[in-house]
Amino acid sequence: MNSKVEFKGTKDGIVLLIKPFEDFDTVLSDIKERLNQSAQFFSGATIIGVEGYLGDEKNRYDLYRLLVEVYHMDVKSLDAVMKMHINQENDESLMKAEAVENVSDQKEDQSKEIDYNAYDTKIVHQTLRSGTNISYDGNILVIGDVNPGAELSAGGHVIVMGKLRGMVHAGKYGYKDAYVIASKLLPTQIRIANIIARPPEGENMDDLKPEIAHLKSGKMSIEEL
Amino acid sequence: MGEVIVITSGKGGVGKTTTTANIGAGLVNLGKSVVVIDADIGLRNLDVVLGLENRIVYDIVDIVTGQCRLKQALIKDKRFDGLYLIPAAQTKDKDSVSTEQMINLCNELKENHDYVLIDCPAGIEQGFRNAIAGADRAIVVTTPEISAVRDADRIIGLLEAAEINDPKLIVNRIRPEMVRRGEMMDLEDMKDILAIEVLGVVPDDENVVISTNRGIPTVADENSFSGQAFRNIALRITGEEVPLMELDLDNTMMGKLKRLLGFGK
Repeated sequence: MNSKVEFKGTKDGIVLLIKPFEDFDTVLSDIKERLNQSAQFFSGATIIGVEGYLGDEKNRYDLYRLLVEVYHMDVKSLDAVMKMHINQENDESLMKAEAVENVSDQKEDQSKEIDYNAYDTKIVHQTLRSGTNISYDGNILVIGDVNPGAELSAGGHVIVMGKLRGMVHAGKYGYKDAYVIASKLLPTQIRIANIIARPPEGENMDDLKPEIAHLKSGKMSIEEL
Repeated sequence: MGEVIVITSGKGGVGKTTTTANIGAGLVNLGKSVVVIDADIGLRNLDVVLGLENRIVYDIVDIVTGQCRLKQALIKDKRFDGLYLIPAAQTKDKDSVSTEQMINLCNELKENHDYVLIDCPAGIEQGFRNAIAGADRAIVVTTPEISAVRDADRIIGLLEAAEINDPKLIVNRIRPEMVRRGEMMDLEDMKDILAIEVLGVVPDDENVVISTNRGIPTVADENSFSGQAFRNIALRITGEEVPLMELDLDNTMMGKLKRLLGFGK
């Protein structure tokens, strides 16, 4: 059977694997087929995310309606699951099973997952005003200011040569070592991987020196460069 | 079962967002549970006026497209316990939400809250149609300017066509001394044209600018004129009879205002 979907169980719930498709209706009908086969098993089950590309908002909405309204599943999220998280788990079990065999291979594997230096960097040379959304799987370098209401989200790091006052998300797929650097770092909100923080109120833009934000044992830490 | 009230005006810049924030906070002070919705997708402001901008994770588009649950997107106000915000999306446009989705959202919110206030965008296009879709009642905000009153008149017509009957009027930013000198439209002129019931008159007040920039609704300020006006409006929405400051407006508005607020004689 050449199904477009798979259900993958994790300890937190089910992840929906969506394979590349041409027509989203085939995905929906494959889901219906799978769920009808074992309706009891899936009724009330929790969906924690999606792996693969859903396409546009309408697809996402249709999928949500199908799962919740027709099959009464508990849909926590249809966002892309933190890939790193799952891969890391796999890596761990892999390591346990194979002990220290093939160390060099493993290193290669890991670097493939975690080394964001291997990703491209998008360079944006302009002031980003309210309503602009720059989203990129690799790193983002902005030469200019990022105003409140603008959004930056990167799979890797974010560097702003200018004032960062908008919303910024580094490591959006769960890369916890991602960092944010700005000449003046005063974002509306800052996110790294799945950690969200907001800066203290009443900080003065003029006093700020270039800073770096990164995660230190799971907490947002902001330091002078 | 709560009530959905849309706050609209047609013209921009007359104070819809400030009015929404203040009525919301005013109703919460009366012990009500209130959700304020920013329907101005692409040009959101209500979050800033309430000082909640840096708490936004999910917005209205995320809710209606199923990317999060309703409860996840409700932002609790930091000062007013019982006030919740659903922010607009800033990087989308008005077509990201359909009228049916808006109606569903309003119906769902109505079940658990006393009032749902919708901050309508300026204009009469899709954003306006979405904002009024789920509304039970409407409040039309205007300023004492011919252009704003003209637009308010058009809006009242559109509301009636959409079967949201009996909208109420708030006249914002009135300057009693200019009215007295005959340099500004007075309340009677506006009532004459618009022919709807007046819910409140809010005087022009510097405090509104200050509090808006600080992200604190002026209704919290016991000493401000405008704050008192909004507190009265909130009371009237709950059905209480509070005397309007409208009588003999052209002569003694300021005196009446002062008396009403307990200043002067």
